[in-house]
Amino acid sequence: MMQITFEHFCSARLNNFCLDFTMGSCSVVYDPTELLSTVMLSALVGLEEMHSGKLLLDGISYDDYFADRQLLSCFGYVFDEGIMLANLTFRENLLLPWRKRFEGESEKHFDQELKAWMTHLELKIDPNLRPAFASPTQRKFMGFIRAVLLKPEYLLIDDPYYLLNKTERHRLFGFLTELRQTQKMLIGSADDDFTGSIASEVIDLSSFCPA
Amino acid sequence: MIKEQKKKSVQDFFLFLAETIHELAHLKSNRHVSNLVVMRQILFTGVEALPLIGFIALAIGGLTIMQGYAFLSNFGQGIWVHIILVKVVVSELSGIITALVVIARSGTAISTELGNMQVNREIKLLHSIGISPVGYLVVSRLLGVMVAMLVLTLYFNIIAVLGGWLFSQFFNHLEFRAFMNDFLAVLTLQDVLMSILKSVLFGWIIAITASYQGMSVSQASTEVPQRTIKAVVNAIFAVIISDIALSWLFWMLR
Repeated sequence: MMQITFEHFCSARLNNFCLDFTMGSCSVVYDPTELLSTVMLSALVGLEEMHSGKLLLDGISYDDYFADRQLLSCFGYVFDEGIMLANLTFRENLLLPWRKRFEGESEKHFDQELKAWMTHLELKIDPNLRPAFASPTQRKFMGFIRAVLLKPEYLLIDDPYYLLNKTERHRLFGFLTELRQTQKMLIGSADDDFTGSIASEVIDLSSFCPA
Repeated sequence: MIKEQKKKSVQDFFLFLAETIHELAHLKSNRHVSNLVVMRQILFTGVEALPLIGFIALAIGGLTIMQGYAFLSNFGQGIWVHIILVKVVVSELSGIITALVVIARSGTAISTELGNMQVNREIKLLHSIGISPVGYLVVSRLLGVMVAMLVLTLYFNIIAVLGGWLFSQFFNHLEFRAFMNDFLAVLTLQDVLMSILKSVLFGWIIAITASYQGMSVSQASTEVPQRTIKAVVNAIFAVIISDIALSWLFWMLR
């Protein structure tokens, strides 16, 4: 289990943030403001430029931790919106990090896995379409597939219910419940029902007030 | 709790430049992801600009010969009109005019595209999957624009010379071979080198300036047109200043 420490963490969006917790099999950062959890998760994949303070993973500074590790093998990040590169097709979008993660592996293997995950998530879209031709929900689900295809040690999911209607939330909840059997996850959520139902550990930031 | 975005400084530009050079030096490590973008950039900047560049080159070559012939023939020196074609078109105008066309078409396109990618968080997506946006987006565009600028400038020179010969037919019938013999007699290796060097340098300047401005968009879509205008203005300034510097350097070396 990974120990994560934010020590007087200071970025463009946050001032002096301190938090220390251990990631479990399915940890949920419960944050009604959504800002703190988003900053925490994005900092873990290097999206939050740290101005001062420290971010430690297992007691090692972030840069040192990834000096001899690949980011993709450790963290797979799922954005709150289904962000995709607009000038690539869904397949190319998903293939781009996959090629980097599994250098030298056959694309046939990728296509088989992609098809399996799409069937599993009941996604009926052509992977050779550009993201602009799909709905935001379909893009979001494809974002989930992009992350799980990389088989990271931890899946970081920011606000999983964002953009989804009741049926789609139900579908995603079923998917995540099943996925947590095999995949360690850190989820940022503002939904207390979801948090209570899925979390093995809750990091409650509802009364948290950074300096 | 929420801070304001800091303004971009000259230092930021040089940091961006250094990162681009670093990524360029490590091109092999992300070559598989860059080739497609390089080819698309060459297609857009180079191939799709050929008709416009061809039209301008034909007109410039023809008009240069027409004006030069009208002026020089007053002194019975019409034969020297080819020198004007070499010195004015090949050494100076081809690079500058091609650069202005590329700034107007590709500089604005690069800046807008990268700016929109910032707003749509596509740049953050690349970071999150461990791919350097500078390596994947900027270096590819840089190479594409440089290659396209080189090809377009050579194409401009060829069409301008042909245009010059075509227009010279109106004043006195001159065989193509004779025209080319005169032209090649005054064309030096230095003229050709200067044209090539300028085109590559201008391509570098346009791509770097446009990419920097595009990547500097922070969050708001209203910033995109502002950054695009900055990219155009800065690129024009930088191209003209470097043109003067290079011409002066070559003149000194002569």
